[in-house]
Amino acid sequence: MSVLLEARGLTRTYDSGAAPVPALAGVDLTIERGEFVAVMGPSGCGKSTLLNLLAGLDRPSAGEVWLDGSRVDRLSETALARLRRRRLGFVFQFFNLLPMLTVSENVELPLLLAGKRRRPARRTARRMLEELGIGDKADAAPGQLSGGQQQRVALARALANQPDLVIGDEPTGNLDSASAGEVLGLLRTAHARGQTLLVATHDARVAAAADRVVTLRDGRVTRDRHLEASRPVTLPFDPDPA
Amino acid sequence: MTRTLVRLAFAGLRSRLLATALTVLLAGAATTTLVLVLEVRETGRDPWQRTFEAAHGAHVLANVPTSAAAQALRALDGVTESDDPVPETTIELTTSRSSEPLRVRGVSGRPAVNTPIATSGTADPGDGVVLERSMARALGLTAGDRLRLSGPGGEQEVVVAGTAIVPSQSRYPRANPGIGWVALSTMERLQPDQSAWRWAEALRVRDPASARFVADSVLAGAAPGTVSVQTWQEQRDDALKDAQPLQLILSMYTLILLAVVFAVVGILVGARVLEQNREIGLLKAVGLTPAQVTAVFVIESATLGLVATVLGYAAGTALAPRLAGAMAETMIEPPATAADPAHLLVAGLPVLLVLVLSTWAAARRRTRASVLNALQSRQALPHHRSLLARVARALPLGVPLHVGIRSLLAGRARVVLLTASISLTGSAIVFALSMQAALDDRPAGEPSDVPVELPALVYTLDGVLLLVALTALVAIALLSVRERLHDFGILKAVGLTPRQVASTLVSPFAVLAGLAGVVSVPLGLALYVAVYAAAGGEGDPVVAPWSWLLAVPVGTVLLVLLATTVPARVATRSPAVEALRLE
Amino acid sequence: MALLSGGSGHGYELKQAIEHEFGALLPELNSGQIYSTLARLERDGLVEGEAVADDNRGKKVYRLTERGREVLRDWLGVPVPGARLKDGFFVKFVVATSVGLADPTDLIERQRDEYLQSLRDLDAGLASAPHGPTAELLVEGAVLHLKADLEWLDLIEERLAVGRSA
Repeated sequence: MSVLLEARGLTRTYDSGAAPVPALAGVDLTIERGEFVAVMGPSGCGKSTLLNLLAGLDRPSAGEVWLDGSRVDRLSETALARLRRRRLGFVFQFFNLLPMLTVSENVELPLLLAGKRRRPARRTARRMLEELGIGDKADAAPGQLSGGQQQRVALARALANQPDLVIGDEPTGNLDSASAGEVLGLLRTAHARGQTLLVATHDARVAAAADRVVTLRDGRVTRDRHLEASRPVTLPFDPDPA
Repeated sequence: MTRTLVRLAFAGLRSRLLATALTVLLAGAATTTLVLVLEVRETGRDPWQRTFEAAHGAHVLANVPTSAAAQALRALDGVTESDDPVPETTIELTTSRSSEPLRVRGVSGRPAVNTPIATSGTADPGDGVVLERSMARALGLTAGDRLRLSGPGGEQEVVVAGTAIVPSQSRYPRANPGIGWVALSTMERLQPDQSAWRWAEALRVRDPASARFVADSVLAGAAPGTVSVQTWQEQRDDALKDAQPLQLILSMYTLILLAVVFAVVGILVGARVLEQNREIGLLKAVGLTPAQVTAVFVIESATLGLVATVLGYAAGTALAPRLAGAMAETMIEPPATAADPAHLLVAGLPVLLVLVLSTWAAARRRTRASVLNALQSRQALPHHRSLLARVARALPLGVPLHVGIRSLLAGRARVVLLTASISLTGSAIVFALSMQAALDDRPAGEPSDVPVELPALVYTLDGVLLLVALTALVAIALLSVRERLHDFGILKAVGLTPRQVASTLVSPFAVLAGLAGVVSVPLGLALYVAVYAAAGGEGDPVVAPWSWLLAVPVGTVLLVLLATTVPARVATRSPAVEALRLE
Repeated sequence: MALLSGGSGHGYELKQAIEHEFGALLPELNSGQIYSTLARLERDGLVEGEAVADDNRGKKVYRLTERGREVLRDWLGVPVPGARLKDGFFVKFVVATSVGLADPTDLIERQRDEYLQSLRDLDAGLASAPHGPTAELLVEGAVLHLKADLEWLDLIEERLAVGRSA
């Protein structure tokens, strides 16, 4: 498997008042194509900071970020934007849909930015919404949808351009357990199709779905473990279909 | 409870200084304008009355062919006072620049009735001439200047002994020819043929209200067409007509300025309430009823309004005398007016009402929304199904423009108010351009019908309007940026470049400005034609040429680009993560 | 006993009823289990059987006694005790760390891995084949317990760090 994303000595320090606060203190991380990596850790450990740096939404104080063999942490905002639209997709905890556009238009946005024409973009967007089970909401306003539905729209938007990497920052953090389960199922489906995923989460169930769990504490990686293949489980109260 | 509400209100004001200051400034400007209108209107009548008193004016002024006929009028029923008839004739006045007809009155000593009042130099012509003040100003003459008078009897070089005003003569060149006073001997020399003279007889009557009857009896006693009579009421109305174009234009600009100011205040107030959306949710969660939350905002606005109206009133009363003086060309300068406290009420009340009502309307809408709604959402539900949104969707607009227009449409009241403000300002510019074109159209040397201060006044008022509009635009741009900061973060995350993100703010404003600018052209032309007709202009007015008119929409777009580009660029320069952190 | 609360019945009828009503919940039973259970209940005085006259196979018809009804009521009425103060890991943790047998952090990490893996197993199990709603509910319950246990592990680790720095 090839290396898709690599962080070397990633550091982010905030100058607040007297003493600078290190949110990340030298993180090395490698993500291969097709991997599902979960980042866990107590709040304040630097999960979101790490994701923001890897996504180009923030600039590191020190260290390097390499995407597919080229260095990206020094690119201009404009170049980063162009990179993001083609190669990255985001899912945020609070959905971050644009409220003045319809659901379908939110999903069409990255497609249009990547150069697709209006009608093909609309078709693709609607197809994705159908696949995610919310095709009937295509012309609704985001505010009219439930949390779980909004997150599915966000996921559709993230997957629209078939990006190299989908980054999720607490994607189930704002959902009830039923919706969280649905979204997790969709992430699993995407992963099964070969999508590389990097998800920061405090939901153990999301982490359990990943191939690899990276634990951060105080801005440093303390554990980086692959999970093993699942073992079979016999469930009581379960009639044997055979 | 009330004290808590008041304290909350003041905290709110402190936290948003820019918008607060701007609201006070604009509301103050509106109050000043209203105060000016009120004060100037009152001082309009007064100067003429004072001039009439000071000049011992003629209740009835008759113009007859012979001295004997004039003398006969002095015995009419009801006449209490009169003096010897004053001869007048028309000669030519020549300066280094031009040559004009001049109607001179031959005086020997001061007439008892309808006495000219000296405004510079002396009212006694001596060997020279005393010119009526507005004519002297129009021709650029002052006391001491030399000019040539010429008539059938010969020419004479004379010195301007002074300028004077008289209640029976209105402004030159509307009253054409202008008048002047010379010594009787000078007049005899210039026009020896006394049969060409006319005689003016100034009469004062016992009952001024009956002046019309006396005038009618003058006409009755003479052959038709040989005699002309003017009552004091007609003199007054004629004199006040001088002020009419100015007053019309002032009224028009007042209305435009008030409309623009109120529109902008409406926008600022709406934005303020919008920004406080989360605060509203928190206040309600803490236990305030919707009515109490609305009350907090209303108290804020009322406070602002009070401060603004007091300041505006002070400015207005300070400026009023200067403005009134400009309009009293043919009358005595009005004395320093004591500030009328009633005007504070009359001017302040509409401004206060506009502030309070627009706040109340905006706040009520927001506080009615559920607590959760206010805490979670930042904007009103967009109107996807509105006609404009559908038009925007159908057109092949680029991504930034489309996103920007949809953002703009989410606040439709603001769009309407902004378009109205820009259109009105543009129409005032069109008005000024048309006026300038009319002035330019006159043949050189001919003194214009238009009072001298009018262009200066119009340009000054246009300048004020432009300043207000520009300031408002910058403020609204800054407000919009602040409101959309979170959306900017999302757009950046999705992959819009910083320039594209800035464009989502700037381009819809530019489109709006272009449309509003185009609308302002017919609007301004209509205004100009209407004012021209109302001011008694004859025929088809000359309007600004197409090339000038084109400059208005173009200029509007450029100005709006100027106002919005810098705030947008600054906002989009920060990394996306900062914007996304806001909620 | 719950079935008998509705009326009386043969052993065979009971077996059929159990399979019919609770087939999804319970594994398949054989007749012997039914009859031995009934005999025990009769011995304890909770049910009583009556021989059916016209049946020469010697089958009895069973029904609940008064005492039986009481016992049934108590079983349904009293909630299952909530506080679970027995935890295998915690015993291990306390014992091993007090004696110094194992590194506490290491213990916690390995248990955490095990819990995560169990979560993975449960979710995989759910996804692998269709299951009845009752089974699904049971799995969701297990998942939630696992998540709670993981949080507890985090807490233990946190307190450990605080204890060390103090």
